[in-house]
Amino acid sequence: MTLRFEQSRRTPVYSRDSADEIGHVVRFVITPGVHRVGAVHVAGRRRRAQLVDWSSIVGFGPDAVVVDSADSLRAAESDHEQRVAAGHLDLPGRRVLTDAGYEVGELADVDFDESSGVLELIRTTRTTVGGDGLLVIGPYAVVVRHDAVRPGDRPTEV
Amino acid sequence: MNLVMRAGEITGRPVVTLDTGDDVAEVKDVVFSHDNGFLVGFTLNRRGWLSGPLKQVLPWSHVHALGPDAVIVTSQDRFTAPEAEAFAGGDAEDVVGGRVITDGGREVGTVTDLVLSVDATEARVVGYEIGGPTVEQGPGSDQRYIPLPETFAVSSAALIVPASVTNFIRDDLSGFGSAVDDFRAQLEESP
Repeated sequence: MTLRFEQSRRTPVYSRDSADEIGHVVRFVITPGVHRVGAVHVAGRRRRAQLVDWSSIVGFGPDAVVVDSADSLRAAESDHEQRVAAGHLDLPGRRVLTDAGYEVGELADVDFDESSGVLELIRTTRTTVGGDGLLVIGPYAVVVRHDAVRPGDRPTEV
Repeated sequence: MNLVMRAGEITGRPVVTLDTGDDVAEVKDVVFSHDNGFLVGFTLNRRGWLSGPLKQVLPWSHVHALGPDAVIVTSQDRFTAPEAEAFAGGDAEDVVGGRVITDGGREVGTVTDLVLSVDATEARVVGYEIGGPTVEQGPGSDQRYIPLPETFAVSSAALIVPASVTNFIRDDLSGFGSAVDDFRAQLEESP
């Protein structure tokens, strides 16, 4: 089943071993070059913002996210993870450019497969882009492959 | 497929990297070969509050794509030192303000910008945007677009063009690419 990033924000996160609510979903860390969610950024009232790897998620649904254990939470490590956790690479409203130098709107939402975390569709304010077309999420722009833009909306490339 | 654009439109366009999604610079000026009008590359400015000229330049051969909204490079490593021998040429300021005169002795206007044709592999000056009193006194807009012959030195202060060019002057850039082709075909037929 397909979920969207924006609808999944604030979804409660539970630990399977203790059944405690350990926080809620804030952001998604997308593994560069693999077009899938690598980790989920979780924030809670008594906890510092932390990440949980996708591989530690037992179930991701529209009403709850279940992780194997509260011990799965870890600090942001790489530079990319730290920038995501700090909100420096937040997706909504970010300019979307193709690798041919065309802007195709601002990022509105991302569809992903709830079981695999694979990105299925990038929704911009003007069009949609296949999830496998994602090249990079940067501070200036999200860059996508020109040929992954929905054909009817794709600017003629030179 | 060719994209036709004014050099002035490219100035200020962000240079965005594919490895970080960052706007690492913006185009300061378009540099082209005086000999044949081919685009040599871009001089660069920094972006944001540190804005100012960058010492490094971006050769055309290092450009991943030149689109209407951004210049794309694979990474900032593609910037080079301007001392590179291949990076010699002039910029739009060398040509802007020059009079365009037909070989019949009529002024058709003064150069206000360069017009480039860009495709996947090369970019080249193919025409001029012209303005000035001669254009303003005529019908239509205050700017016109004039195609250049295939072999043309893009340098002199006064530019002398075949009188037949007046048949191929356009009011806007839509269809200008075919005006260039038609003008050049006509020159080949009646040299």
